[in-house]
Parts: sequence; C-alpha cells; structure tokens
Amino acid sequence: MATQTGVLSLPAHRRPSALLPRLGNLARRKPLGAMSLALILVMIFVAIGADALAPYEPFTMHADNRLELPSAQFLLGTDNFGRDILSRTIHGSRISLVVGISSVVLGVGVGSLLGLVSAFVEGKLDLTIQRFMDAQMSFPTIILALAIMAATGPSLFNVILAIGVAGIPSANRIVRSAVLAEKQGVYVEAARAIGCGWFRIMFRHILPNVTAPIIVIGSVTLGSAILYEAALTFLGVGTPPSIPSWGEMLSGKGRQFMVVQPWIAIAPGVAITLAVLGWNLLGDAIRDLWDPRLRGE
Amino acid sequence: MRQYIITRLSLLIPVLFFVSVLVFALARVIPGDAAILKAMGSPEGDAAGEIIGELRRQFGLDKPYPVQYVEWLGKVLQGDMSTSFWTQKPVLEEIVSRLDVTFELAIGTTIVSVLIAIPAGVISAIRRDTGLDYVARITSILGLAMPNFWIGTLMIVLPAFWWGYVPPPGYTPMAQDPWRNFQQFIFPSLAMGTSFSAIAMRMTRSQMLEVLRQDYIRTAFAKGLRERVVVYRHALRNAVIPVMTIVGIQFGHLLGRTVIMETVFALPGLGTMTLRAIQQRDYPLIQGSVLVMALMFLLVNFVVDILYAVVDPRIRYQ
Amino acid sequence: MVRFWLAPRHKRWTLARTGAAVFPLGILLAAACAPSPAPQQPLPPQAPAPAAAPRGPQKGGELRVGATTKATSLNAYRDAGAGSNTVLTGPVYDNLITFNYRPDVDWRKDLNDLAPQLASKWVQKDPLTFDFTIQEGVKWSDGTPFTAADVVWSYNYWREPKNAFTRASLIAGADKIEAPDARTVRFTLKAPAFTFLPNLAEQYAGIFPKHIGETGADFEKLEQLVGTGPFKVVSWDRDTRAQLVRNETYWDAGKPYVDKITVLFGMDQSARLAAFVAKEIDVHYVTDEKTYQTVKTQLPDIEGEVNIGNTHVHIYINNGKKPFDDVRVRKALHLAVDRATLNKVVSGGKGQINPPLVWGGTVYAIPQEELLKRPGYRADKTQDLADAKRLLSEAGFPSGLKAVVKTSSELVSTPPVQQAFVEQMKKIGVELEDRQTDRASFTKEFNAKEYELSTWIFSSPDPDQPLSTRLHSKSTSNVSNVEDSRLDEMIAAQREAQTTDQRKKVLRDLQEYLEEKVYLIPTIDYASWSMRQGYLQSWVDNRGVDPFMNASQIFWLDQAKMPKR
Repeated sequence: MATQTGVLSLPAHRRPSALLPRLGNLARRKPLGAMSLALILVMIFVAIGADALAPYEPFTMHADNRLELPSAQFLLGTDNFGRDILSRTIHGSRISLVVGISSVVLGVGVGSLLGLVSAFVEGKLDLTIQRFMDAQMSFPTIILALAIMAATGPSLFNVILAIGVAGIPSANRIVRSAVLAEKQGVYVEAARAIGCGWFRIMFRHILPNVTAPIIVIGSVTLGSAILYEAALTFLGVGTPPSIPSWGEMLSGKGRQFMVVQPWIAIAPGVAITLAVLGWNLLGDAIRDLWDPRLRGE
Repeated sequence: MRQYIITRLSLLIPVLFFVSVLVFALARVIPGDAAILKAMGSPEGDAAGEIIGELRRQFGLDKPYPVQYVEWLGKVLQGDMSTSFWTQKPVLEEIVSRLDVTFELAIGTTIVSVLIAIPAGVISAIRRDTGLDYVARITSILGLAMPNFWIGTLMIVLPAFWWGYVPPPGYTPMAQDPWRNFQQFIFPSLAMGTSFSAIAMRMTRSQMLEVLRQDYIRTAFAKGLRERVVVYRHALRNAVIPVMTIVGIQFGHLLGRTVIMETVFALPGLGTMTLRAIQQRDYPLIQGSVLVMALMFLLVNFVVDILYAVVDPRIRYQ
Repeated sequence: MVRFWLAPRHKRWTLARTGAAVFPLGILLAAACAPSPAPQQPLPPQAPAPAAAPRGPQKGGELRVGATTKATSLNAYRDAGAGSNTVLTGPVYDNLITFNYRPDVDWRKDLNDLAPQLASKWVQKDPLTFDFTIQEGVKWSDGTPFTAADVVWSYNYWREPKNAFTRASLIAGADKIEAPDARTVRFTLKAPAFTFLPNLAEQYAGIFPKHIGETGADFEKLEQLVGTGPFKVVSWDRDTRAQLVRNETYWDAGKPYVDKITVLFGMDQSARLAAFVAKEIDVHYVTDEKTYQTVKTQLPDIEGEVNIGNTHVHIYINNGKKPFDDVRVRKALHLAVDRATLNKVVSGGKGQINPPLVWGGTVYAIPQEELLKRPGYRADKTQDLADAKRLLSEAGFPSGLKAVVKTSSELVSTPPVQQAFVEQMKKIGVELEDRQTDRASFTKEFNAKEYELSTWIFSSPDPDQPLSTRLHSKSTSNVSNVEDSRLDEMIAAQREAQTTDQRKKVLRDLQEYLEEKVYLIPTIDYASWSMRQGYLQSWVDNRGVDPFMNASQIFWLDQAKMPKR
C-alpha cells in the first residue's frame, strides 16, 4: 500500500495553508466538483444580481395576463396572480441563499460549538449535552420544525430559526467525534508537554484540523436547508406567501394550477434541484479533497 | 456484552426524559388551545368565557404547567397516555391504529432505497472516476435534490391526465387487498426511496472503495478470479455491513419522517395524525405520538448498535 | 444492471447500443399512450347535441366526493362557525323551512321567498306570533316519531347560553318556543322581526332529536347523529373516509335518489384533481376557468359552472386600535382597493363585488350598476388613489404606514384576497405584513381582538346576522370594536322593518353609512368553478347553496354512465 501522503497526515504546522492552490487541480481531477462549483457560483451571481437580472418585480400582479404559458413577454409565463415566473425564480435564489446561509451559520455554528465544548470538557457536561442532542435527533425533525413555526409564527426569520435548529445535532455529532479523534493525536501530546493550555490547544491546533468536516457538513446542510424550506411551506408553515421563495412557488396555492401552467411548478422545482445538487456535490468534493482515504491512493 | 447492553439501555432514559419535556413545552408554546378551538368561531354571550374555562378544566389545562407535566408523565410511566381531546379515544389506541401505514411506508422506502443504493454504489466504486461513476453519483444525489413532495405530486397528477389512472384513494390493509395496497404504497415508496438512497449509496461506494484496497482483494485478483466473482463473493459482503448499519438507522429516522408523503398521498399514518393533532392543539395526542416516534427511533438505533457489537467485538469493550 | 457493467468491454458496447435503442423507445411508448392536455385552446364550437329522450331521476348509485377540510366536530350546532362538517351533517338534518331553491331562479332576489321542509305550512297569527304545522308521518332515522316537541327542545338546546353555540343568534329574536300540540310549533317573538323567517331557513337551523338530547348526549358520537334528513352517517374515520347511506324512512317519499355518499378526507387539491380526472370522485372545485377547460378537453362529458360562493370576504378593521380609529385612514384603505383587479387575479373576474356586509346582487344590496360607479368601487382608480394618499397625509401619515393583516391559512378564499390586497396597498405607501397562520392561532387572536387588520368571511345570505354580530356595540362577537349608537339603531330598525321595501330603505341607508364610516372594508365574493362528472344530474350548487346542506335529496346518478368502482 502506498504511504499516505495526504494532507491530514502532515504535522499541523506544516500543512499547506489554504484551498486555493488546489483549485486548479480540482477542475481537472474532479469534474463533479468543478460542476458543482459552477452551479454554486451561478446561484450566488443570480442571487446578488437579482434586481438587475429579473425582467419584472416579483410582486407585480399583471391582472390581464394570468396563467399564461411562456411567451416573448413573460419568458416562463405567469402564475395565477399574473406574476412573472422567471423573475420570481430569480429572486427566489436570493431567498434560498439567505435562508440557506443563515440557517447553516446558526445550525452548524451552534452544533459545532456544542460539539467542540462537549468534546473538550468531557465528563458529565459532555454526557448531558449529548443526551440532549440525542433527544433532539430522535424527535421527528419535520414535526419539530412545524411546532417551532406554529409557536413563533410565519416569518422568514422563524423559518431560518426552525431550519437552523434542525441542523444542530448532526454538526454536533461530527465535530465532537472529530475533536475526540484529534485529541488523541501526537501533536496534542507534544503541545501539552511543552506546557500549552487546553484552551490554546483547542483553538489553535485542534479547531483548524476540524474545519474540513465543518465545511463539508455546512455545504450539505445548506442543500438540505433549501429542501426543508420547501417542505415546510408545503405543510403550510413555511415562508409567508408574500416572499417569493422557491418553496412557496412550488408548494403554495399556485400548485393547483400545475395542469394549466406547468411552469409554476417546473421552474422552482428545477431551481431547487440544481441548487441542492450543487451544494451537495460541493460538499462531496471538499470531503474527497481533504480526506485522502476516499481518494483511494 | 451484557454490560454493553445495559449501558446503552440506561442511556435511553435521560434521552426520553428530555424528549418528553421538549414536546410538552413545545406543544404549549403554540398559541391557542383546544378549548378555544372547541368553543369555536364567534363566541356568543358571556357564557363563552365560561365555556372556555369549563373546557379547559375538562382538558386539565387550568392547572399550572409543572403539575400538568408531572401528572401526564406519571400516567405514561404506568402505560396510560391519556385520551385525545378531540376523539375521546385513548392516545395509545389511536397511535397503534396508525402504525401499520407508517411502518409499511418506511419498509417500502427502505427496500427501494437499498435496491437503488447498493448496485449504484458498487458500480460507482468499481468504475471509479469514469463517466459511469459520475453518472451514478449525480443520479443518486438528483434523487435527494428533487423535493420528494414534488415528485409525489407529479406521480399523482401525470398518470391521471395521461392514462386516467390514480392510485385507489385511502388506505387498504395488505391483508384485505394486496394489489390495492401495493398501488397505494409503491408511489410514495419510490418517491421517498429515491431521496433516501443517496446516503446509503455514498456509504456503499466508500466502503467498497475501502474494501477494494485491501490486500486480500489484491490476492484474489492475483489468483486470476474474474472481477464479478471478486466483487460479489469477497468485496461486497464485507462492505455491506456498515451500509446495513446506515440503512437501519435510516429506517428509524424514516418512522418519524413520513409526514410529507402521507400528506401528498393521503395515507392515514402517524405523520398525518400528528400534524392534525398539532393543528387542533390536541396535547395528549401530540405528546404521545412524538414520544412513540422517538422511542421507535431510539429502539431501532439500539438494535442496530447491538447487532453491530455482535458482529464487531471491538465495539463491546469500549 | 451490475452484470452489464461487469461484462467485458467489447460485449458492453453491443449491449449499450441495444439499450440505447430500447430505452428511448420505451419512453416514447409511454408518452404516446398519454394524450397530452392541450391547454389554452378555445373549446371547439359544440354542435348541438341530438335531443336525447329526457331521463328522469333514477334511484341508486354511490356518490363520491373529496372533502376539503378535516372535520373537528360532529355536532352541527357547534360546527356552524367552522363549517368543516357540512358534507357530513348537512344531509342528516332538516329545517322547518328553507329558501326556495329553483334551478332557473336567483333565489337571493327575494330572501323571504321560502319553501316548506319539515313544516308544511306556517301562519303569522299576529306580528309577534308564528305557528308552524309539521308534516305528517315524519320519523327520525332510528324510527322514533318526530313531533313538535323535538323542535322546541332542539332550539332551546341551540340557544342555551351555557352551550355558547355560534349562530344561535339566528333565533335570538324568539322569546318563547312552544308546542301547543304534537304537530304545531309556536314562536313568540320579543319584537316584530322581518328577518325571523329567513333566519329559520338558514342552513344552520337544523332540528336535533329530543330523545337523544335528553340522555345528555353531546352529539359528538356517531350513534347520536340521528336526524330527519335524507341520509344518515354510518361510519366516520377522521383521516380517511366517511360513509352516508339513504335514510329509508325519509318523509319525502321516493327521495333521496342516491344510495350512498362516500366522503374522502385528506386529499389535497392536486390529489382531488387527479382523482376527479380518473373518475374516482364525482365533484371537484377549481379556482380557475382555465383549469376547468383543461380538464374538459380530457373529459368532454363533465359539466361545470361558475360558483359564486357565500363567503363575502371582508377586511375586518380593529376600530379601537391606532391608527385605525381614524376614519381617514380607514377610508384611504377602502379607496385604494382596486376591486376589479382583485376580482381578476383572485377569481378570474367571475367573483362578485360586494357592498359592506350585504350580499352584492341580492335584494337588499345597493344595485351593482350604481355600486360600481362609487368611489372605491369604480374601475378607474386614479382619483381614488389620489384621494387616498391625501387622506393619509391629513391623518398624519404622508409617507404611508405599516401594519399587519392576518388570516387563516386553512381557508381557500381569504389567503389569495389578502395577498392581492397587500400588493395593492403598496400603491399608497401602506406596507402590510401578510400573516397567515393556522385556524387555531388565528381564531384566538381574532376573537381576542389582537389584530389590526384581518381578512375574514361571513357566510350569510341575510345581512341581519353579520350586522348584529359583527358591528353591534353590544354584541360579544364585536371583533371590529365598534361603538356607534346610530349604527345600533339602524341595525335594530332593519330587523324590525315590516315589509321588504321598508327593510330595503333602512339597509340602503345603513350601507351608505357604512361606506362613510368604513368600519370594515368589503371586497368580493370568491368565485370558483364547480365541476361534476357527466353522470351526476340535478346538482344544485351555486350562489351559496350547499348541495349537502340544502339539496341532497335532489341529485341523482345516471348509473348507465358510471364507471365500475
């Protein structure tokens, strides 16, 4: 078996600093990763430039052009209120991105912190936190999100809260096991030997080595967040109808017009699929990059 | 071994305790309650206030929260999950009557998921980094990426318009009419199975890759065995065990996640019942069904853990 | 599949070629079997159908419908506010009298045109006393004979304050209800009330059995659902289905025609549409004409028509909350509503534009031609929008204001109206948060007056109910928070009017007064398209007539044309 020359086996102070030099290799060796990166960049670009790219305001109701099929005037047609579907899909990317990023920051952020602290402290605190995390994991996720939404009311912020909370346990679990594994490392022993305090060790040595799984789980969770938002709206407790999110377009009252104007459902459906595909594959690619075992050398 | 089992079981208790507190608190934080809903619409007369008060007393909602919790928990520990506010039937009975639907859906989904994941994972592994690998991986994640209720809705509407066909509405138990039952469950199982297969596929792929690097596989090839024999007889068997673990855990997960498919396909399972309970603020029913779903998840995980320990002795001595 | 990829390279290519040929063929085959719907095409002009021999009503068959809401309560009096259960309880109970529903006539033109049901005739002995004579040979569905005592018990149960049943105010005008003999019911009113008879005809005024009620029943259990109506409920599973069968002892001999009614719960809009197209259910409502036409190209035999409901969607204002206590603000909102556009985007232009709390197009409403010329209602909004902005400035909000408008997401009619309303208010700088919650949350907040604006309905053909309950200062359902003694007087006057013309005059003044004060903002009556399979005949379902509450003994099924199920 060839010796492991992957990134993680190098001692901490010797690892290459960033992802950047490797990006060039990425496109060549990992077409899937490159494709996903392209999808993500398109999504971000569209989200930022939504106001300029969209031909109409997403809210304007063109009363005389309801449920029209794609035409020169409305490239993807209009919905039951006469709103341009293309514009709504474009603006939807912004909402999805906002919801995705915010809920990931919340969920993976809090989850990682809990995992880090839990693994750091061990003992009773670790046990208690982990049991609570187990409790949340065994609580049916959709029901939990539903209950949170019902309790807090329909708003974008609450959706972010509900989805974010759903992401905490998996981030916690991954980070905790990663930290526990790292704690066994020789370099930690070495650092202790020269008198480093635990706090310093955690944040200067262990945390950088744990960023890889955090990024991977973050990327994948972002994809799920977009799906969650659509699912919650489907059940009636997601983003308020005044916000042009993909989930609302797919699951809102417009859904019943699918047989007349299929683009009401096709456009957001395809958009969600591509977005989730992109974020998931990106997570995969990053994982492959940082964890040489999967590269199968 | 016995020590391992006891330790894992004892961990369940604080977890269930936390779940019970969580669901109790969450249910009560939602605005409005069953008394108001039952008193309905526009209350007439000052009696409305009294009616609501009386209903609250009947439902036990007038007592302070900790008292309500302790009373409820006490009953649960004796096996009594109280009665539903709306149907007046024992919660346990309601839950049990819905279990068969949810179980069948979860089992169907798992079967579909495994039937997709394992071949796809194997192909992806043995043809690494070729076009095939990419196609398999994209297809698998595509299943995950497409919102499953969307696929479900398409599965209902398109055949109706194209062929005038719709799965028979409602639920017919398998024992009563297997063909009807099959039609009712095949579509939601397909819709959910394609999503859930992605994770198992990824696991299969990485496990196969891991196994294929092993020395004994090299030996097998060196001996001149055909690829098919090596893959089936040697590699797959070893790779499949951790995959089965994941599948088992997913099954446990599924039991609590059938709400969406049940709603799309109008199947009367635990998910729709819990949804209705939340909408109608039926506290005993919400609490009971969430507790049962959590318990099922924990038990499935527990069984998977034990089986894994049986297979891999190193685990037992941690 | 795995085998394929394990095959040696040269064989794989051959297999791949074959597969590549077969696979697309398979898809093409499937698609070929699929007649694709052709949306947006105008229907070809129909050649007049050859005159078929008129077929009279046949007995037999099973009607299948999909219910839109999940029932919460089996007690029809209790459920009246929610209306979640009309398909179950409607066919079970009868009223004393009903409105005179005829297929060719708009019954709303005269709300005092009443037809007998359980009462074969009625007499007004003096301004305060009405005597109703009960039909002969009426029995409850469990065989017990029906007498006038049942009516007395039932209505007393309904208006018992301890029960707090909604809509019991319909008979609030009655002082005494007595049964001088087994076939006569006598009502003695507190004061002359023109609305008394129409109130008794409303669908909520069904009669409950005394012999069941006296055992302390709450009418929530299936066995307690005994009525004199054309059907009885034999099974009810909340999440899947309910089954009704013909009441064999129904007093109107020979009716109802249909053997069974099966109600399917839990299906959402798409599932019901699919089931209708596949002929698994016999009736469906769609919100748009285009959908109807698409379905019609698929199933040429179906019939459909515009169905203007009985929903009278209004924007309720909490008149006690700033800034809505200022009439200028309220007026501004009212003027800014573009009703013609609202009608178009919500109901394809087929809805009915209403004056405040009176059903547009009916006997008491300001006539439509006149209404549509008035400020706020007229199609050209330029002047209205300018006036609205000016009023907001005068009231102290030159750059607009913010508020929250709430409704229940579980209804079909109010969410789209609210969405369109919110969008339109942006034109005068009013930014509204469109808040839709489930019924329980909404009901709590609405009744406790914890809202600023709400989109809500009031289904009643006669204006007395909404006026007395929602706008009267002494009413405990006064969610609009109105304290206006002049309004109170007018409400009392319309109830006590002695003739239709008198009442018309009072109500006319009242509508104009409401326009001035804008205690709430009327919008439209939501319209949908009701579709039914070609084999379902005599289906009365329009302008607020609920086919299950009022007309379940009329429809029948042409069994020769029904599919095997």
